[in-house]
Amino acid sequence: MEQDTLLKFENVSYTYEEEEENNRLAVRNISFEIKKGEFIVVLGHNGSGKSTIAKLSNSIYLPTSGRVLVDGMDTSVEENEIPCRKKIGVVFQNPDNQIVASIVEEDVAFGPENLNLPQKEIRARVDEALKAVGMYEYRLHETHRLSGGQKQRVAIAGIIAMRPAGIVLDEPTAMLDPKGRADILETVHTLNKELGMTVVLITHFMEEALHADRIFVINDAVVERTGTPDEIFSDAAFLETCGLELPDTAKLCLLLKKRGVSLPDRIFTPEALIEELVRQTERA
Amino acid sequence: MSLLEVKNLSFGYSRATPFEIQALKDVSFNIDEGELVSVIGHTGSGKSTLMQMLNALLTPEQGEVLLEGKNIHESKTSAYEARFRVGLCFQYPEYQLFCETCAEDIAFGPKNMGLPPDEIRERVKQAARFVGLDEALLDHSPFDLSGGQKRRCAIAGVMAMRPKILILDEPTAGLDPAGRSAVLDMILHYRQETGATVIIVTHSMEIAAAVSDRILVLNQGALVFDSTPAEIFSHYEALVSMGLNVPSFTKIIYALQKRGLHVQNAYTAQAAADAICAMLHAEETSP
Ligand SMILES: Nc1ncnc2c1ncn2[C@@H]1O[C@H](COP(=O)(O)OP(=O)(O)OP(=O)(O)O)[C@@H](O)[C@H]1O
Ligand SMILES: Nc1ncnc2c1ncn2[C@@H]1O[C@H](COP(=O)(O)OP(=O)(O)OP(=O)(O)O)[C@@H](O)[C@H]1O
Ligand SMILES: [Mg+2]
Ligand SMILES: [Mg+2]
Repeated sequence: MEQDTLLKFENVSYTYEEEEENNRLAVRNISFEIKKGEFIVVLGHNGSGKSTIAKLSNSIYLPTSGRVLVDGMDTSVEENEIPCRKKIGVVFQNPDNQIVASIVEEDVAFGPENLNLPQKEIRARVDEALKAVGMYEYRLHETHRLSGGQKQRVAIAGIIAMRPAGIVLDEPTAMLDPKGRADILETVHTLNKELGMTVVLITHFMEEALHADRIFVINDAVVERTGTPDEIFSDAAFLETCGLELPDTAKLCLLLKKRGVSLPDRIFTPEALIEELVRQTERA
Repeated sequence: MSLLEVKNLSFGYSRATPFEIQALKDVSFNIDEGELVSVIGHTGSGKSTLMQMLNALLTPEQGEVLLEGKNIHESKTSAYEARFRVGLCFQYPEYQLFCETCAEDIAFGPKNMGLPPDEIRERVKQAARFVGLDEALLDHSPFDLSGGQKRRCAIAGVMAMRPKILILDEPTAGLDPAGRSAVLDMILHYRQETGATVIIVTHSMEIAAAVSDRILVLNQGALVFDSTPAEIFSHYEALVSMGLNVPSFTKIIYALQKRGLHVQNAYTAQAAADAICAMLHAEETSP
């Protein structure tokens, strides 16, 4: 395996125990490679297998067949379990499953404490992580009394504080308000750009995929397609067969074209559409 | 008299502890029969708390909730009745499915209302139809369903009570795009068929703009706006300062205006397309 690969799936299949008798695979023979420093967005309909892939990524689940390699380490080898989890942190879909301590800052400190860092370093990381997700003011609050969105942010802070090489976020913005969503997105993009952290973001919001390096489209337990946002979003018919949709800007472009406005293909971001429209009015 | 009158509601959690939180502050509004009202607000702004007060799961510290003129918190009986007349579908309701079959889960509310078995069966079938849940699935365990199907099953359970007011706390959270539009369509269809009053809590400005007659905006427990989508989304800066935003389409319109273009305000995809077309047309025909 190449040095610059953080995560590699080799012909991975996974069956939940309850499903063994039906022979139903939650993930079917998938292979992919994610390079260090990449920003990957994973899209796919409900039940397509996204969360299963997330849990296979750091040895929470072990493949029924095939191999998962984290920085070259096979997750199925017992000694690799802890090193794999240090390399890749996973923020679960339901934050209730992830909160371990009764006070916010204790919860965020839980991971770093297990890394045996000096107390001062832990304090600094916890504060930084809580500020990054906008929960610093809540550091002394009780975790079980937080709203859903607040819990989700605390869970993300807990992973950020571990400073893993890669972070897998399973629908981190599903419960958040617009600012919370924008903040989380900005936070993960900053972690990616400035700390070089590899990011795998699972989401049902097409907008959140616009600035990915690559998009993985999961459909019925397989990786149906991978590509740049441009490539993936240029095929509206494909998106629809996968239960997905165009980003809002592209939807608006379609409506404009239907009304006779001529627009170049492949406008997916608001910025691109705004520039194009300004150009058209200047030409007129 | 409005169908629902909310008067000066205040409520706090964990009173007399260091974690005391004033979740609602003097909230007042009315909702008329047949209206579709969205509630938006930052996480922790008090939306779910407010909704639980409207069907008497929580009791206000101050203020009152009048349903058809009667205070629902007046007695145990009135509070119990309110749960059926104001049907609340919780945030992530699929975690609350617990019966052996979907049919039993949907029947849970009607059973508690003491309805006869025939009527219950009829209601279960109708509710399943409303949410587009295949009849064959009714005998399955809810745990066998996909996320989207579970959500529909949970919503059907509330619809089966035929509440006067249907409240859905983030009905599309966690659903894929196809599931989101299916669930929204089914809510709109239900409303059209039954004339029910509907309240939707959502973090999606696009959904609030597209479906609502009126929008309520909560900020740190206080009701700060109560108006039409057009009026609400004209307060761009105020919304941003409260952790909210305008719909994505509106953002594009505002950006064009900032660039000096004359384009009408718009809050939905269709309206934005119309406004932009009109703008381009006007540019072409102007000298
Ligand atoms: N604990 C479990 N036991 C049995 N089957 C499961 C379990 N968890 C998931 N499944 C099944 O495995 C498949 C993939 O589920 P997964 O949770 O990975 O989907 P997902 O893409 O994350 O969906 P969503 O968008 O709804 O979160 C689905 O068919 C699901 O029903
Ligand atoms: N059971 C509880 N005990 C103590 N505090 C609570 C409880 N439930 C909610 N709170 C607090 O009350 C405030 C309002 O919470 P609420 O759940 O009503 O917000 P919300 O607007 O529904 O948020 P979200 O958008 O995240 O669902 C929050 O600060 C929350 O932390
Ligand atoms: Mg999932
Ligand atoms: Mg809520």
